[in-house]
Amino acid sequence: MASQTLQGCRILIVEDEFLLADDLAHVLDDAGATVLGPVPSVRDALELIAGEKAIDFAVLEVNLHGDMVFPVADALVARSVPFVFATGYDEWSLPERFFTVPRLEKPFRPERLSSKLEPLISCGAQQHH
Amino acid sequence: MPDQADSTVGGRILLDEIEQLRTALEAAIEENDRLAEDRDRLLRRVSALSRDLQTAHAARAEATPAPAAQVREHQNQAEMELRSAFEELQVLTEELELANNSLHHTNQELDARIEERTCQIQEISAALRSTEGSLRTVADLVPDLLWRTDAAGEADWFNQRWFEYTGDYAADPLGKGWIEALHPLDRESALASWAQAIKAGTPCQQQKRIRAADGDYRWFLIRAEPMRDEQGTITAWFAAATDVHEHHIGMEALQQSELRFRTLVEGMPQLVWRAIEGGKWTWSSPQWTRYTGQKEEASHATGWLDMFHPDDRDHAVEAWSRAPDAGSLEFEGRIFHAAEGRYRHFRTLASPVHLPEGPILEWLGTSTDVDDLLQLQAQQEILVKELQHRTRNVMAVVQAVAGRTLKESQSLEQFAERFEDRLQALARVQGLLSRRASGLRVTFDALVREELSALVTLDADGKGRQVTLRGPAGVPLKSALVQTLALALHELATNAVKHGALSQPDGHLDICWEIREPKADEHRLFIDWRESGMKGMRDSDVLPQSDGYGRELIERALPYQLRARTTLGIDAGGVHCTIDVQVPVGDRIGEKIDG
Repeated sequence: MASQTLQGCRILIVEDEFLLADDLAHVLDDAGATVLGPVPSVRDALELIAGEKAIDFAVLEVNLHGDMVFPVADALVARSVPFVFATGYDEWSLPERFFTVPRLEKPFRPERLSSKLEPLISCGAQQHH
Repeated sequence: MPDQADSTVGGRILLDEIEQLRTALEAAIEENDRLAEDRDRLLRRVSALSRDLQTAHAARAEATPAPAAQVREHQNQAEMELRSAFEELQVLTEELELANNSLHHTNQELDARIEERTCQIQEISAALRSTEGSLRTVADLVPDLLWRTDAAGEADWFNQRWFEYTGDYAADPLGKGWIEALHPLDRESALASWAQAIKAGTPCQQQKRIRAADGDYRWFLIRAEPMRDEQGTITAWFAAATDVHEHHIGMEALQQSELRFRTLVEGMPQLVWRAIEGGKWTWSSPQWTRYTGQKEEASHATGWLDMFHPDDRDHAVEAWSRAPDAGSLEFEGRIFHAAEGRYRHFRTLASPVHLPEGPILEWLGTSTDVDDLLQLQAQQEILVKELQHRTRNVMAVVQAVAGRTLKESQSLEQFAERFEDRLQALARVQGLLSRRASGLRVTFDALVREELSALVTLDADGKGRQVTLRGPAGVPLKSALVQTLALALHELATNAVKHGALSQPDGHLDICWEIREPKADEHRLFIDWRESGMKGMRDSDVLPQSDGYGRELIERALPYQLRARTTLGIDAGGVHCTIDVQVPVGDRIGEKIDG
C-alpha cells in the first residue's frame, strides 16, 4: 500500500503501549523497513541493542511506565544510531543533551510517519539509490 | 551642706573653749575667796591681840603690880606676840594683794577672750544664717523635690518645689504624710524599701509615681541619703526626687516594643538575625540555634557561614558584598538542619535599618526554609510533565482503538456503538487511576467491580443474578497493568453480555482470583474467567473474534507489556480465560511515578 521508502532499513521500536507499538510496527513494515522489537522496557531495549549488530534508526517513547528511556538513547548515541523521541513531552522536559533530538509528538498519524522519518534516516538501502 | 556642717562644728569648739575659761575663772574666784577668808581670820586675831595688849597696858597703869618685873615680862610677851601677828598679817596682806592683782589680771584677760570669742561666734552665726539661707534658696530653685527626715524617717522639711508640684491635693507631708502623694500602687513598696533603708542605714533609690497638682501621676527617681555626725550616727536623711517621667515612659515603650519584637521574632518560623556591615551577625534568634545546633555566640560575626553548605558560602559572601549598593540582601543557600542531619534550602532576605538620609545602622534578616516548597515545585513539575505525557498517550491509545474498531466494523453505526463502549471503558479506568488516594495502587477487586458494574448489577459481596466475583480484596496492580487489564476485562464482559453466558437466561459468569507462588519480592495474580450454562453454542459465536481487538488485548498486549501468561478458549460451558500476571508486593507506589 505505502511506497517502500524505508526499504531495507532496520528500525528499533521502544514503546510500552502495545497498541501504539503494534500500529507503529505495521506502518514501518508497510514502508519496507525491518522492525526490531518492538520492546516495552529499558531492560529489553538494552538487551536487544547489545545483541543486534545492525541498527539504522530508532523510535523511542520517552516514558516507559515510569522509566525514562534515556539509557537506551545514550546507548544509541554511543553507537551513532540516529533516533527520534515519540512522546507527549515538550522539549523542556528532556535532559539538555537531548534538546536537539527530533521529536514525534503524540498522537501522530501513522500513515504520515514514514515521510517524516525519511529525511532523518540514511540506511544502507537508501544510500544505494 | 558640708560648709554648714563645718561651721557648726567650729562653733561648737568655740563654745567648749568658753566653757573651759568660765570653769577656770570660777576656780580662781573660789581661790580668791579662800584667801580673803584667811585674811579676815588673821585680822580678827590681830584685833583680838591688840585688845589684849591695851588691856595689859591699862592694868599696869592703874595698879602697880606687885611684882613689877612680872608684869613687865607679861607685857613684853604680849607685845612680842602682837608684833609676830602683825608681821604675819603683813605677809598675808601682801599675799592677798598679789592674789588680788593676779585675779584682776586673769579677769581682764578672760573678759577679753570672751569678747573675742563672742565676736567670732556672732560672725559664724551670721555666716551660718547666710549659708542656710542660700541653701534654702537653692533647695527651692532646683527642679527636684527635696525633703528631710529625722533619723527615724519622719519627714520634717520639704522644699518649695514639693508643694508647688503636689499642689493642693497633697495632704500634710510631714511625718509619713508624703506617702499619700505616691501612686496607690507604689505606696507599699515605697514604704518597705524606705523602712529597709532606715534599718540598714544605706542609701536607697527607687522609681515611683508622685501625684502632680493636676491629679496626674509622673514618674520620679527618688534617692535618699543618710546624714551622719562625727561619731557616724545618722542624724537625718535627705531625699531628692527627680522627674524621670518621659524617660520612664520611653523606656517602658521601648521595653514593650522590644518585648513585642522578641515575641514576634521568636514565634515566627523563620530564622531571624541582625547583622552589621559585611554580614557580621550581632544576634540570632533562638530558632537559629534550635535549627542548626550552633550556639548563638558562635553565629556572631561570620560564624553563621559555617552552617551553610560549603558550596553555597562563596555565594552568600558575594551577596553580602553587593547588599549595601543594592539596598537589600537576597540569596539562596542550604543551611544545615541538625535534627535531620542534612542541608535544607533556604531563602535569605535582609533589609538595612537606617535613620532617614542616614547611614546604614544594621541589617535585619530572615532565612526562610523553602526546601519543602522547592520539593513541591519539583514534584509539580514532574506531575505537569506526567500529565502531558499521559494525556497525549491516552489520545494515541484512543487513536489506536479507533483504528482497530474501524477495521472490525461493518457499518458506521456498528463503529459508533463499539467505539463509544470502548471510549467509556477507557474513561472509567482513567477515573479509577485519578480517584485513587495519592500514592496508593488500584486494586484488582476495585477494577473488576468497576468494569462489571458498567454492564450488570452487583451487590456488596460481588454477587449478581448471573455473576459471582470471588477473590481476596486489596490485591495491588502495577500502574502499567491497570489500563490494558481494564480494557481486556471490558472486552470479555461485553462479549459475555452480547454473545456469551450473560446473553442467555441460564448462563453464569464466575470470576475467581488468587495470589499464587508468593515469594518475598514477587507475587503473581491468577485470574480465572469462566462462563457456564451455555446451550447450543458455536465457538465462532461466543468467542471474541480471532483477529479482533479483545483477543489482541488478552493474547498479545498483556504478554507484551507485562509478561503476563494468558489463555483464551472455550470450555464445556462457555468462554474460559486465564490471566497470570506479576503484581507488586506492597500497596504503595514506589518512588518513581509509573506511567
